[in-house]
Amino acid sequence: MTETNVFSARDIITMNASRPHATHVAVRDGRILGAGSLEDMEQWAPYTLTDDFADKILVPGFVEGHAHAMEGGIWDFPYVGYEDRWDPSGRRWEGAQSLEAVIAALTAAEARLDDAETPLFAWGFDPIYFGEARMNAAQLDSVSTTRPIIVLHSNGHLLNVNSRLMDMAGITADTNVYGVLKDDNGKPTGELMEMAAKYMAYRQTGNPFFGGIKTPSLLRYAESAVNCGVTTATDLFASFNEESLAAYVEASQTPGYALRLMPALNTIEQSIDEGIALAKRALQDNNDRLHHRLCKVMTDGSIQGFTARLKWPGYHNGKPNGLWNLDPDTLGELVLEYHKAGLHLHIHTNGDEASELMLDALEAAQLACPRPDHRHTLQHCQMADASQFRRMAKLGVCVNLFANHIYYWGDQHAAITMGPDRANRMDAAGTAQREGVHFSIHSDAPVTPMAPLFTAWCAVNRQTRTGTVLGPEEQISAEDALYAITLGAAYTLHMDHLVGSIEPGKYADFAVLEDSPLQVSPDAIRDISVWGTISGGAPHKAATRTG
Amino acid sequence: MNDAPVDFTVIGGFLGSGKTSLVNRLLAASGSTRFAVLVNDFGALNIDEALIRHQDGRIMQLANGCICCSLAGGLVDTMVELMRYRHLIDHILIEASGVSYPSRIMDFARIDPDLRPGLTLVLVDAAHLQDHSTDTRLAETITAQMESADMFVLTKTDIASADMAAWSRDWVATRAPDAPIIEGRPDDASLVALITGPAPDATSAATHHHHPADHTGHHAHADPDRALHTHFVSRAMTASRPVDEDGFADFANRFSKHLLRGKGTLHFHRRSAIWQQAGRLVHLEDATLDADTASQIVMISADDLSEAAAALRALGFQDVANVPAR
Repeated sequence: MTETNVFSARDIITMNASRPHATHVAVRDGRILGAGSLEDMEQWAPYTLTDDFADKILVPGFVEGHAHAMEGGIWDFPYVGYEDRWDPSGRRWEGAQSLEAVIAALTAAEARLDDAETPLFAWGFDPIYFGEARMNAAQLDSVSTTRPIIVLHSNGHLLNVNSRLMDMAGITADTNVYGVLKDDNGKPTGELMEMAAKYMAYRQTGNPFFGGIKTPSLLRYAESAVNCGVTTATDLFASFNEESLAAYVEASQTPGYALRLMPALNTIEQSIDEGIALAKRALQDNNDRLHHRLCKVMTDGSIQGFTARLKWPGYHNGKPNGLWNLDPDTLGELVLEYHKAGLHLHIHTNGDEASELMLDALEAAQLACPRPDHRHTLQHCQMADASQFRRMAKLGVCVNLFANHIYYWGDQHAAITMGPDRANRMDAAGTAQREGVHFSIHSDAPVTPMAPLFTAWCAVNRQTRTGTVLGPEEQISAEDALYAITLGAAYTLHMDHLVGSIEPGKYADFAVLEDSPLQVSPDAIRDISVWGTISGGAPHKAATRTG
Repeated sequence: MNDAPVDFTVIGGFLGSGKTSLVNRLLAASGSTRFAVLVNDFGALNIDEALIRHQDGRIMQLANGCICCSLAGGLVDTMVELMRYRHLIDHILIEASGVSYPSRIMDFARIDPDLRPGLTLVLVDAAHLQDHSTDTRLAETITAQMESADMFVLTKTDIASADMAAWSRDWVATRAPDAPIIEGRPDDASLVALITGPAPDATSAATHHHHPADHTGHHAHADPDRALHTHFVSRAMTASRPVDEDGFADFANRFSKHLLRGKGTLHFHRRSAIWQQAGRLVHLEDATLDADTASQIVMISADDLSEAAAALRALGFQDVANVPAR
């Protein structure tokens, strides 16, 4: 007979409405036998009682419905963002809160490179917080004049490069191309934006982020997940080339792999027919820790990059409307065909016009081919108004809101992109709940750090970086936020029968916390320490934070 | 290895405007030009399997020396990848998605010295322009396409009603008054000539004009514009005295609507130059020319060149008799 383990805890928040709290949970074969009191456990005897977590709180393992496995691999490159961040090994990358600090971080990274010519890439740079000061090539030249340097901005739209790179690329005062920014004397500053400039930079160095995912990244992604209590996570924009598909299988079958992975096929990387065939063939790879079936559609761009598609009155600062990723008609056809094929769509829509286009497409698909319980999900969906949430409810469409945006870019949205009215209703979890839409909240890691308790804090408090509260009417309770990062997210992924709550038959996936998100004050939810996770009944301790 | 820059052309226009069929025709009639075409969907290209010499994921090499590339991996990374093979390519042609901004794509050629900015050709579906231009989801994109095109081709005129075709022509002409609009269906050779034309071989342009008789003579195959001469109106002119550069630049801009092609060798007061024009695309590049020769130019138009010729006469040009008329 296989072994039965019983874990005791200070409190077990089950998210199972018929037994919301317990002190003990019994696990066999990686699955939950039941949760209840110590007496309730007698039915499973003989069992081994583990009191290691007797002073901790167990909650269902967090489900990250929108993140990217690149979170695991991106730490091969130095991080130069504004706030402290911790990599999968627990190492702290100190936030660079001035241009001088950014240069110092780059200088330190440069010293770790052996030869003098290897390109240096860095990521996460966010000069929004430095007022008028911009980084220029001369500053990067103090880091190196022999190797090309590329610093990626966190918004994904800009790069800063040094003079060495500009020399290689032939970018001079005579380069008159949109996206090559210049100073008052007509000299290029080293700040580059838009496709052409990015192309020119990567032509010199290669794009280190090009190509599919590799096994080491997936292994580190799981470490990152353990650190923040996540036991199920998507890789929500995946190349399904042979190498990547093999990497998913290899990682998911690695002994001790602590994550249930859900890659989503990038639907625009091949024709519709080929994509559907690829997504269906991938189903054969599925195992306990690998769950194919998701497909990702990109509709528009980003709000802070002014590439999201907005309904009237458009961008608050008068910038022209954003960009469709594909012709609207092609997007509609794509939605219809994947819907007909029985696949599960996760659809990036940032602006409200994009959300509307996709709701139209989903409605047309439902009329052409009624499919109960499809659970297609709008991802980000940051600007939807109440009428759009009502349509989602009617169409059975779920939503995964980018709650972290409220903290990281909420101030900019209120002042520049959306204006106060629409910023107050951005990522409207309150409205989703009132209108009966199944919803989740997410980090989009590595865009923002993967940390569901922080994401929950954002949805509960709706506080921006400067401390402003955006739209208190859209705040949700701690309990509802906890639901959104567990069972709510599981529902949007069609995994709520397997994960998301602590009840018999489900995977024994728990987040192990030092405090209860339902007991601490709402503004302290983000400060709760994560001991680690239990995945399939096996404990995984979070990396000790260092540095 | 050939270090000459690779010519770069952008084909824009909405879904259904005929970009794919244009690319197909181009691949079939490519002649000696080794095109690399970057398209959104391989499957839509009508390529005989027997002509595929080699296929590796998103890159397909054809027996005629052309390369097809899928843009599925994104334009930036596809271009980075493609330029590793630049010695195999004479001319890159991008099939822009219907919702992209062609000028942002032409920026690739403006920033990369290994690329030479060529034509931005926008196809306009005469049967559906009215629907598209009144669709708020598409309006800004279509306006941006009007602004960035050097030249338009009005397609689907066979299925559009006469009123609708006229409406579409007027709509484009109002928004891009200085760009030529080609109607009807040019033959394949003209199409290739229009697209490769402004991508010039300076020496052939120069020698060509030393020997105007070659138009009809045994070297005629060397002139890619030959097809244009038979399909459109053309006119050759010459000037024996140095030409006023500002005046000529002004002429090129003023008559851009009538100039499907313009090319020639020019002696200005301060320099000599090769002129290449395709609608709103004007190149006047420094050149070393024999000081004893006259300035020589050829113009090709879909409509009428009499006013353009008059303007050039005012700059000191005279007509050349023996260039083949239409």
